[in-house]
Amino acid sequence: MLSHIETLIREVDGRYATDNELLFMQNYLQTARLRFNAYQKIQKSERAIIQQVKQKLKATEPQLLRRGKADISAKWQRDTVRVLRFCAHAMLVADEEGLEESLLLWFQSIMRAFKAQQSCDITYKTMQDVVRQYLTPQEAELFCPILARARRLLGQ
Amino acid sequence: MDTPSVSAHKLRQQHPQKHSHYKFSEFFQFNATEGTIADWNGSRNIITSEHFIIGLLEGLEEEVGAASAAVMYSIGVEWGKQDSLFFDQWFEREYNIRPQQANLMFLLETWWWPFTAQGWGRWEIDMTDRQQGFMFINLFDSAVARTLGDVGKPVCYLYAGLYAGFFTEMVRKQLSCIEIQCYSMGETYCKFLLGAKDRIDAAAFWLNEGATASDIENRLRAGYTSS
Amino acid sequence: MTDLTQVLDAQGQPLSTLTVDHFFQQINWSGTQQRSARENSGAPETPYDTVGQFFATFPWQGATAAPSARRLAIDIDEAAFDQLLAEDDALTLDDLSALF
Repeated sequence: MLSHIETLIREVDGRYATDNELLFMQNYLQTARLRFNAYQKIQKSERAIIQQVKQKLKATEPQLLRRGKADISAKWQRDTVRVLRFCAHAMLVADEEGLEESLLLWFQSIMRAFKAQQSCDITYKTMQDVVRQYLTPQEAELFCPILARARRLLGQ
Repeated sequence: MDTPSVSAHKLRQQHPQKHSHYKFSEFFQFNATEGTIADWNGSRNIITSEHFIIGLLEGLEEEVGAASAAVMYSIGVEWGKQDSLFFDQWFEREYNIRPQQANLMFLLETWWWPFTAQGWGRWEIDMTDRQQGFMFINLFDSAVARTLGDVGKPVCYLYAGLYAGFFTEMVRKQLSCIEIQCYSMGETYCKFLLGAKDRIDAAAFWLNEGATASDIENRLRAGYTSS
Repeated sequence: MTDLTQVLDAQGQPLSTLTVDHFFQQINWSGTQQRSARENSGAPETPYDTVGQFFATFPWQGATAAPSARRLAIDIDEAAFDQLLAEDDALTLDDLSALF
């Protein structure tokens, strides 16, 4: 949405926008209510979502929360919360491109530096399952593709 | 291009602890009244076209001939040394930790990010061979090579110098760097070898003799230091 | 389940095709409730406190109640990102220096 608005302002340059050029606003407004609801649900359930993902990781891939002898689950949690919040925001304002530019590309290189790709891959895969418990199917339809994008970029 | 200056970045002043700040509209601050561009760290930036890069390289070649490669490398070295001092300051300011104490890979990624945002390309550090005293840097979308296109020889001397200068200052050992594979040789990305001078001299010799990047990698891994 | 693309006209009938201006006309931009709805609900005519209330007035998405403005305190320590930078088992510049 925000990227679209920026493009619109640039393209329209001294004339009026056409119906076609404004279509994205219509599409956005049609889903705005849904996006806002989902955003608030995620905000309210953040702690539960994170804990549930962590429990699943602990049960299936416990080595991902350890580095050698050190327990890195606190670090994992900070990173995961950060990404979840950015993703929720991207869903609210319908700006996945912006998410990539403002967080994911940078964070991808940081996750690679810490060799955390596998952890990210499983974390954001699991998170897609977990958030479905908190969102309606329609809301999940909007949010899960964003988590999938985070998984794709951070997980490799 | 960027030159250290005192231009303050307003967004950074408001959000000094924001780390993910490489989005174009956030990283750069366009000062319309002064006609200047500052980046997040307060460096002054100048936007140039590919014509500038071509003009710089061809002009230099016309003036000094074959020595232009060495001149570009030296410019890079000085730039890298200066930038390491600049980086020391902003890294500590942003992360409240001295570069010497930080996780190395994180530190290096953090150093390169402004370059990525400025259009110098993305990189990947290969430290597999660090125990043997050398490492590789893969560079994607070199501004120099992408501009010149396939000219059949390595052209990224500025980058090689930049890496040599930066790492020399950061690790406090005299290091050299050579580009052993280049987009301008028809490869998909550029590859740099960083190490002590004798290693790099050997690689330069092999390269001159027609060795490929993988020949050079193999010889270095086998422990050869000369032909 | 409401079809997201389905927008109703003034009579409450679904509109299959819609021009942008028609669409925009339907948005309750000012957020004021229709007189009859207000009388029926007994809601006072007050400015919106939250974005949630504002969104809740959008007429085409069904009648979900306005979300609460209450913000849940989430005590996850964000500033601790810095701890991530110095790790016991990680390579540092000095380690690198020793290798050359």
